[in-house]
Amino acid sequence: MLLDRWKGGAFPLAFGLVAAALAAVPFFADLFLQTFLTEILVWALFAVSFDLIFGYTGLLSFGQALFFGLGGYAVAIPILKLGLGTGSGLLLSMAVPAAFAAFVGFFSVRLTGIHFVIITIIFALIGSTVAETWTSLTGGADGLVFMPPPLDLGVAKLDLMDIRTTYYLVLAIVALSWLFLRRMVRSPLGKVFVAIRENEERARLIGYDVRRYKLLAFVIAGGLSGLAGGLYVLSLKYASASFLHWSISGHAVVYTIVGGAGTLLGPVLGAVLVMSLEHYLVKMVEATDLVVGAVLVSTLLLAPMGIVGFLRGRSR
Amino acid sequence: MKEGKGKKVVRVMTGSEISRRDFLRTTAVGAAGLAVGSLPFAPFTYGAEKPIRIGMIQENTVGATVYGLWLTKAAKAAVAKLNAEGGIAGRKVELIDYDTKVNPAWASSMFKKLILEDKVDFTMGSVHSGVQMAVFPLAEQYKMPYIGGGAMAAGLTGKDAVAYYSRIHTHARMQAAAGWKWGFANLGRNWTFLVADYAWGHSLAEEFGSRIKAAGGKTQTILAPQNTSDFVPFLQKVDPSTTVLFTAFLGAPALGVMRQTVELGLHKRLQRYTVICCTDGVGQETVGKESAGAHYLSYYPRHASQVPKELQAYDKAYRKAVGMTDDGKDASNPKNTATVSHMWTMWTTPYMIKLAVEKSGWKDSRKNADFMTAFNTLKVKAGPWAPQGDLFMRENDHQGFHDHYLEEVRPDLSLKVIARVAKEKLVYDAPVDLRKKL
Repeated sequence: MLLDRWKGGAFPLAFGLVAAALAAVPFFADLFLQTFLTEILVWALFAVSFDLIFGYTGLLSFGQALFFGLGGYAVAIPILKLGLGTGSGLLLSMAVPAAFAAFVGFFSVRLTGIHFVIITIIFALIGSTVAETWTSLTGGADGLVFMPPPLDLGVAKLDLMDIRTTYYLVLAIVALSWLFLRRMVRSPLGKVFVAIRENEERARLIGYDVRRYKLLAFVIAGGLSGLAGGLYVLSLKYASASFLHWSISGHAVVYTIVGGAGTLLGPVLGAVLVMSLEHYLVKMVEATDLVVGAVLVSTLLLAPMGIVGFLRGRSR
Repeated sequence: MKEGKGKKVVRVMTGSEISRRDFLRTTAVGAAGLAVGSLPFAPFTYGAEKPIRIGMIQENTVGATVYGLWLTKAAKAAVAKLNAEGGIAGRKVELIDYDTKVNPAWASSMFKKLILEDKVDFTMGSVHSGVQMAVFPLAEQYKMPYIGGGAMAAGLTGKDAVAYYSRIHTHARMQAAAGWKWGFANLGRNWTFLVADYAWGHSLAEEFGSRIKAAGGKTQTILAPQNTSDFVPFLQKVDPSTTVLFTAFLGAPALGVMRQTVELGLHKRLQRYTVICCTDGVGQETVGKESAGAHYLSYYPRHASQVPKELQAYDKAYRKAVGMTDDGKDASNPKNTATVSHMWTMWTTPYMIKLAVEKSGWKDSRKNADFMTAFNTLKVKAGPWAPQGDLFMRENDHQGFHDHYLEEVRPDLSLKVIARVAKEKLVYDAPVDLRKKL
């Protein structure tokens, strides 16, 4: 019922309420909650970008970590080694991974099923190996520590050493990215993505250049994964080769499956649920990964379409 | 007993009668007596001041678990001893620890949790250089004193070191300074470095190699991925003229390269040499009897019998406190080997925090800069808190110096100390001056 209303026009109101509530957080929450929400927002953006290619286009990529990690380095290296500003770093965090996604996608989207999964893992492995061994540039497994200069917006300079400022910056970028993706999946382009997911052969027969559309989805998702990586690194002030490891892609996969693939809202809920469980159980259970595993198994068994899918099923 | 007006009488089983007021009074006094009697005798009066909280991050799951287990044991034992001796500046000490999962991103989250949610006063721990680097910006941002716990990358106290970080123990450059000369003089002049292809391996090959070459020796470096399981292709590249094979891997690959060196028979014509980091927490019996003859550079003798005589009394008490046998095994399960060369750092650090608090007059975070200055000018004498021997900190780069040992695997698979390297010989020019950055 609520979800139907959401579809039926209550979205601007609901989105406005959620955004207002999140914007109000720094006024009543402590610094830890603000920094924790910043992290959740970043990982939610990573998961949402994965949802575009998995949930809407039907491509299960374990290579998104490559773009996430590259996005991080695209922020850290120019600031640290070239003296560029934070704004340039953020733009590069989208542009560089998108360019790499175009290259990786050129080879990958020719494949389907398990072959696509494997080639994306291989590209991520190549990326993390290069990052680990090219220590003079990347700092390898030890990583790079940097202090971002204030973000110059023309009218104001944002000090990213301040937790509240970082939170608002991340909130604004994640909200805009989410709205952008929502608009896209509802456009004719998004319908083509879904058509490819549902029946690639039929989409091809009715005249769509399936490979080109898949490549487009891959590049957009790569750019947004990179932006998530860039924001993450900005919030940590640290970039590492470990962020390119293919297992990092697992975060996006888990959040999306738990929350509900092909919904855009699901990955956000999945990130909120899983990360909150991990953080608040850590004092009771050391092996929080087991808890995440249990949540994932339970979701797959009880609600295979994720939280959003489950709620939609009940509302019908 | 006289019954007053309105008084209710409690009839007890003995048949005598007492008033309700008497009954309540007697019960209350008895209960109070019991409660007081059941209170433990506190070693000191904690007073009204809140406890001092030390936050710790360790590798308790995923890789490097053995390090997390033992460094945590040492830290807990140290905090218990501190509290038994009166705490720090009369305040009780609490230890809050989180697992890093050997994941810099997760570790960074946990470090934030320690600072912002648990509101700790000091932080310490982790043997992973990447984890430590990941939390550096947080230590700087919140001016949070952070004392490392076993990570060996030289750069942590190098030119990019941060002001709120200190390391009381050795690192790759110091290890090279301690170990190259002995190896060059006693093992051979032609060295092959077969090391993990990442920062730590590169660092060891570079630090040892440059000294060997400068002394007129010959070197060859072979890099293999850290997770290598088949070392045969790499071992086949070893130059036939090599006299010393120096390997550096962690975990299973460290054992793999040692076993496969023996399987190929290289141990018969080469001297094997490495840093103890590769097999700290691993019994030589796990490597096999062929490990006899291999050499390690260590930072604390594994066996109590090999500890210098003047330190043996301290060592004995320390081993008992952390649950470690004279042979460096777990007292409750002798199959497990302790990370003897690393874990003392978490035993000594809480005590050094105490010394620095007392020296600086630290009461709360407003004096964190003074605390750091005090910590980094400490000279710790050998004693119950410093069983490894004298240790001193250098204020410029916040680096500590202590003695090192060269150990050889004997036929009975025990580790025998064959040389001790004094800390004074390991002092190098400070790559950075942090004194004005606090």
